[in-house]
Amino acid sequence: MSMPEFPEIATPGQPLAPVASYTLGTGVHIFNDRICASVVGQPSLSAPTTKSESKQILSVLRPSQSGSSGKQGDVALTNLLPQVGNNVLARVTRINPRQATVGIFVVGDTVCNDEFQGIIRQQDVRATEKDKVKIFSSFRPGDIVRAQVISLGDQSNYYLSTASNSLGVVVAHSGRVPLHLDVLATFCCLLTAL
Amino acid sequence: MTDRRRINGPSDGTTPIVYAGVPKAKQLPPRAPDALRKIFLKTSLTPPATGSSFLELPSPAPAGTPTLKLTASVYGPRPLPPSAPFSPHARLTAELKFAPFSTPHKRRGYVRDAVERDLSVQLQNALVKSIKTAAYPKSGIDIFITVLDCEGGLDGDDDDGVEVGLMNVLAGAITCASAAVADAGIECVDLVSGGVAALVRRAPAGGDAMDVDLPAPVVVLDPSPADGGQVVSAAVVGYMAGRDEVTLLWTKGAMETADQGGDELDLLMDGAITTATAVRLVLNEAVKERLLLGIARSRLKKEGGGDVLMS
Repeated sequence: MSMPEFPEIATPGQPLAPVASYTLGTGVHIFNDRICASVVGQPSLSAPTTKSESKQILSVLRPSQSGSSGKQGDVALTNLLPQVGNNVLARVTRINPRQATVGIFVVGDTVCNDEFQGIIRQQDVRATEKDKVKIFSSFRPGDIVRAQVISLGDQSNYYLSTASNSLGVVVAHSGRVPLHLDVLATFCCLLTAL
Repeated sequence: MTDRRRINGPSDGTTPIVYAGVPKAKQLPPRAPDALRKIFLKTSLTPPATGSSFLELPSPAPAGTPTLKLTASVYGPRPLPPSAPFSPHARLTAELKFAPFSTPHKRRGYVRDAVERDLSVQLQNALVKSIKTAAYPKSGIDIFITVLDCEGGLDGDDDDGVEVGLMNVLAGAITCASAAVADAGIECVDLVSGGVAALVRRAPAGGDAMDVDLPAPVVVLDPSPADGGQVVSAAVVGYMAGRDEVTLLWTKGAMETADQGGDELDLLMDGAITTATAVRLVLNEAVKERLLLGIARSRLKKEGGGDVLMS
């Protein structure tokens, strides 16, 4: 919902409010002590996230309702890149004894337009007994993994971790039954995740 | 005896095909020096691109008159190729291409030539300052501009003064690309609009152009190569109206700077900025248009209880 004091649609560079009046949300930046829009969208106010903060959060949001623009998948435009701390869904593309290479195709709740390459290193597979982790018995190419981004990584890879109860392989296709069972044994949280 | 091994020409000969001549571009009705042409700018017209726009100048154009037509499409932010080095910012690449049919009388090649490369670099410089590249680490934003029609051709500088066709193309490309970037939802600090101004010497009505005392050149905003008159010098700017910043300046021709006791450079820059500021108003409305349409449609959906207009 847009406030009466704001324009219905803000364009990049348009000043919206003095810096002191709101906390900065998404799609805004500061210029000349004023909060300005960075994207084309509707200015909106939301309640402060912490109790100690009294100021409302001012964001400029691109409407993501279906039919807001001619193309599908418009929602992906708000959060386009994996960031540290994001939960992602990734498909395992290749494995070796030290790491599994994956392609990230969902960041948070949005499906990416392009696949981002990431790796899960041996020491990031689980929180305990890190030295006993065997990549070959944890992942297989084709598995879908829920993981967390722990670093932007190097030039081409995001570094991911599955060291949490809520993370790990969520979809696996078995060629041989014993291997499938091994995967299940390693990540018992699967049963709840699916 | 006829040769059976090859395809022989007709024995009685043929006459060469005569094509109808290309009609010469009509002269546009004269404009006041500070009158701008109307612009058509629309976004989201290229479905596979993240953001896109189309620009036409002037609009509506009388049939047979030269027009400038550009499309811009923006892809990204998307992951960089594995060979690229780590970059904490987004890498912006702009590529301007003339369609083979964009210039009348002369077909352009498919291979990138020096003019296209030069304009691409200038376009990239004009836009990169407006985009918040730090918000998109390790990714690339690619902008592709295709010039579909460029106002009767780019014949280069001739004796008749400097040629403003390329400058118009660059100014249009900046505006069009900025609209596409905004349409893609890429964070930017401001929109960039392009503007051109020129010092034009017009022959007095009925007089001889080679008269001894030539009329003083006047600043013409948004000059068109089809307008006529001798263009003494010209300038194009990329201008961020919201922050009052010039991101690009390109001048052609002879002009006096302030330290030479003249103010021609200032006059040209001010003229180009005035043009760019006016273009910015069009740009603002164009990038809002899609969202306003979406809002109106979703309101209709709420009120009409599911009955939606088909788009």
